[in-house]
Amino acid sequence: MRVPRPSDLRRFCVVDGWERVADSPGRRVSKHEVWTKRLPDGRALRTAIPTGRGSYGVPLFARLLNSQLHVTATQFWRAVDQGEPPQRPGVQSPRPQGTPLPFALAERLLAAGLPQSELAGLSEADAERRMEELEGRQ
Amino acid sequence: MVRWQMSEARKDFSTLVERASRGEWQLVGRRARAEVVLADAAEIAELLAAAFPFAPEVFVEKTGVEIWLPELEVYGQGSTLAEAKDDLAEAALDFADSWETELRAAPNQRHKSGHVRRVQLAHDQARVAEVLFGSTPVDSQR
Repeated sequence: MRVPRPSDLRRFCVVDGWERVADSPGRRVSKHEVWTKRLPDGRALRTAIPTGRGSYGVPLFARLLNSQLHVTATQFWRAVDQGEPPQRPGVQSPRPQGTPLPFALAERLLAAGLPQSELAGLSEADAERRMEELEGRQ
Repeated sequence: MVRWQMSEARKDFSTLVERASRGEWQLVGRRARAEVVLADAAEIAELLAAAFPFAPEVFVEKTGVEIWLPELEVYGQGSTLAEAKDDLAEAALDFADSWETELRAAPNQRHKSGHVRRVQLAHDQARVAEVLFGSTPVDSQR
C-alpha cells in the first residue's frame, strides 16, 4: 500500500477544501499544522500534520483515512495526484487493517531488552509469547 | 450534598471551594434546578478514568514508532516509543483544545467528551501522558 508524506496530506487538505487553523493568541503553540473541514451532514473533520519531514506507516495511514479524513485510499490519491476532490458517501469506509500492540505490552518488551526493530510486525499473540520467553530467562 | 442559590454562592464562593475540595459536591442553581456542580477535580478525574479508559495502539515501523489513540482519533510519532508517547500527549492536548472550541457539537465528535475531559483535567503534557499510558515511565528508552 502506498503511504503518504506530510506534504501529500497537506495537498489533500488543500484539494478537498479544508481550512488551516491559524495559531492565535491563547491557543497552544503546536508543532503540528491543524486542518479542519465541515461536511454537509454536520460531521467535523480534523487532522494534524507534522511540520517536519517524515512518513506514515500503513496501519496509521489506514486509520487516518477512516477516522480523520473519511475517504478511501483511492479517493485520497486521486485528490493528491490528479487534484480531484473526493465525493464522500454518508457512511464511513471499512474498519482499517493492521494489528496494533497494546502500549503496556510494547513498553514491557522494550524494558525487558527486546530491540525495537524486533517489535516491528509482531502480532499481539507473538508479542505475548516473546514476553513470556524473556520473562522465563530472568 | 449542599444546594446553593446563585446569589448565595456568589457571596460565599470561598466556602463552596473549601467544601468541594473536601469532597462535598456543591450544587448551584437558580430556584430548585441545579445548573452547575463544584466538585473536587481529583474525584472527577477518578470517576472519568473508570468510565472512559484509553487503549493506545502501538505500531512499530522500520523507521520509528507510531501510536494511534482510537478514543480521540489522534496519533503520535517518534523514532522511539518514548518520543511517540510524548508526541501523542501533545496531540491529545491540541485535540482537547480544538474539541472544546470547534468540534464538540458535531455528531461524529460529541461522543468523545468523557475522554476529552480526562485530558483537560490532566492539563499538562506529563500528566496527560500518565492518563493515556498509565504511570509507568518509558524513560529507559530515551
